Amino acid sequence: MKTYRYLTAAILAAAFLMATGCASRPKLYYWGAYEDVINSYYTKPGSMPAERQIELLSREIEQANNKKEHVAPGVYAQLGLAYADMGNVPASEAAFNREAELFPEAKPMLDGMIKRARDNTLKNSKKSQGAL
Amino acid sequence: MQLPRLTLGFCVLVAMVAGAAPAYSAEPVILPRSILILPPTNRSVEVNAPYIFLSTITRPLAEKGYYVFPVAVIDRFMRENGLQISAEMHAIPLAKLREHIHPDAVLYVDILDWGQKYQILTSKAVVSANLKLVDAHTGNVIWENRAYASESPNNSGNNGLAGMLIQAVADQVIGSLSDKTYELSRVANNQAVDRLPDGPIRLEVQTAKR
Repeated sequence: MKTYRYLTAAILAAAFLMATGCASRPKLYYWGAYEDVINSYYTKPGSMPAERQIELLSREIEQANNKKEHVAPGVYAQLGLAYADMGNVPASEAAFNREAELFPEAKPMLDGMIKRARDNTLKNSKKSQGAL
Repeated sequence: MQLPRLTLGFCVLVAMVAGAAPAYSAEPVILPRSILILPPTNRSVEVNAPYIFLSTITRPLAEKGYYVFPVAVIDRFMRENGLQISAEMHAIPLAKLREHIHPDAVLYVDILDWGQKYQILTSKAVVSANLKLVDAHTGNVIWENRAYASESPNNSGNNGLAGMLIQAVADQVIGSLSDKTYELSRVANNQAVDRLPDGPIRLEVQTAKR
């Protein structure tokens, strides 16, 4: 009976540790609310407009810097997307460039995003000029 | 026999079943440095499943030492290019993905089951997905695994039938479906990715001791 108790407790403890993802090794990045931002952006878009994303992601970047930890991959890119959605092209480009600087793997893709955003702005301004 | 009471008044028993053993290809593979995760295809009825999955897959892969392309930016990139359905995105030839995104590997995810199962005495949440990591240059499968987790509330073992019924009703009323699967998805993905070998970025950090 006692053995059974210890065994069950051990199994439950192991399950709990696995569930909480007990990583004993050093983590590479500071994540903050990044996962929550992505999750809400999709599942509760009303609660996560671009302004709120910018607010949260900027805060996490600051937190990472304060803690002297590395900003997680994707954080600056998501910030760039949020700025783009608000029509703030310079801030969007700066954020995309920062992601590419930290993670050169993303540079070709992000350069493409920046180029398309510029082309679109150009097209739109031409369109509005034509209308005048 | 009575279950031992844990100091934790509320204990969620998370059952994790590792699916098929991870399949490594016979030849030694060069580990990818960057992984492109395409929005998952979805066989479940939960429309948010692909996105809940996406929100919980970057962290474990990045902490393993791989660069993960920003999932929401990639989703937007695909949509801007006229692809609205994940099945269409999965059909893009690797050469095309390499041309525009330059990934070393592509992760194809197929969601098999997702959400809350209502049973008579309790409700049970489940997340289940197939993960397939493909070399972006050769098309070879580098790694394959199942992400799975399920959760049902533990009634501390000594509730009568009435107690269990109340518990079941409470679970269904209080338990927000997407919130539960969000947490479960995290558990399942951590567990599934744990079997991947350490990626280049983790190995570099270990060598450099940054």
